[in-house]
Amino acid sequence: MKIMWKIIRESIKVLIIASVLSSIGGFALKSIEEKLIVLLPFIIALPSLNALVGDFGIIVTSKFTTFLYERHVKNLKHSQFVKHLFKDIFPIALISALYLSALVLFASYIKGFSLEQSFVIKFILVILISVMVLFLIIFLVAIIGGYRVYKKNQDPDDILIPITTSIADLGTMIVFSLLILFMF
Amino acid sequence: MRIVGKSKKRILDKDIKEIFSAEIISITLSIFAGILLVVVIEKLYLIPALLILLPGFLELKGNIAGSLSARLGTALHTKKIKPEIKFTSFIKQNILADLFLTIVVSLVLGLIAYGVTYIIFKISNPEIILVSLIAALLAMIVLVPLTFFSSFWLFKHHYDPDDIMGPYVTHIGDVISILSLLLVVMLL
Repeated sequence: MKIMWKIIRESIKVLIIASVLSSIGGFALKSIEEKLIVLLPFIIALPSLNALVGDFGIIVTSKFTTFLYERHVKNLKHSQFVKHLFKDIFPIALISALYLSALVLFASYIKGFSLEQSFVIKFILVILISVMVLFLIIFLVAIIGGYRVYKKNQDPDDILIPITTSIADLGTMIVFSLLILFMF
Repeated sequence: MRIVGKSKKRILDKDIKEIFSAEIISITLSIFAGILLVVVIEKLYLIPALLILLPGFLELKGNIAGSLSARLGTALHTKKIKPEIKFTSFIKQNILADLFLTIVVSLVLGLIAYGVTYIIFKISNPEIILVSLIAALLAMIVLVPLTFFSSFWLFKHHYDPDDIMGPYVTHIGDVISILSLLLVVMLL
């Protein structure tokens, strides 16, 4: 039962903090409740956007952790791995955000939502800005946090994934809510 | 993403392809979660605490199944385990730990949603604690075995689970989570 208790011990605190943070995200969502009902594409986009940003937290953390365990990363500042990871994944995040926007707009159109040009532009901007801002924050947290956690002989997979996904979650709700408030 | 000599570019390309295809497939699938959310949103508004519970609830599967898939990826790469479905001590202990964490965290989420709704909106709705617990357990009962099977299958077929499982778990998890939430709301 050693592995089980190690996982529980390492994860429980961070998971509870993540739950509290996500509930704050719920507040942000509740504060734009009325606008959200009218803006159908945002409801359709919400789970995917949330998961999309969280995905990059999981991908960056799990790949970085594997390489830490395989001893490929010795010096964080001069690590080619970190540079390549950023250069490879950031464009994927942007293209995925554009694809998500297009798919959500298409689904909304099919569901009978009338799409005006100004709405389409604002919608794509909201999605793109949310993904870009949150990706940068998550990347920094996953790499710097992962390195520190690994140096303390703890498993970054257990600690950093809940942290990055909750930043993704809370951040998505806040950035999303703020952008909707300002732009609509 | 192995950065080793001449093979570096080819392996990087493979990683990009894997991550990109996983994202595109996952986003397409998870739009169904969004459409499902539009269908159930009226039901969600009927229970005031549910909107506060929703982000944490959607995140729960990413935190627990996402960590599980990352641990499996690391264990497979470092040859700590073989990609075979056998109830070894490692697998049993991972399942037990995830179940324990699901129960504790879903209870915490339910209590927060209940407390906030009671304190701020003066509405007492203890049902929300039960909704959170049962729906989370239902979602994880489907998601945990799916994570094991998928990680092992991907590794066996020479894909990197680190690239694919993150998007897969979170997006499939969204659909499963919203379905389980809807099921529990309808049943209670």
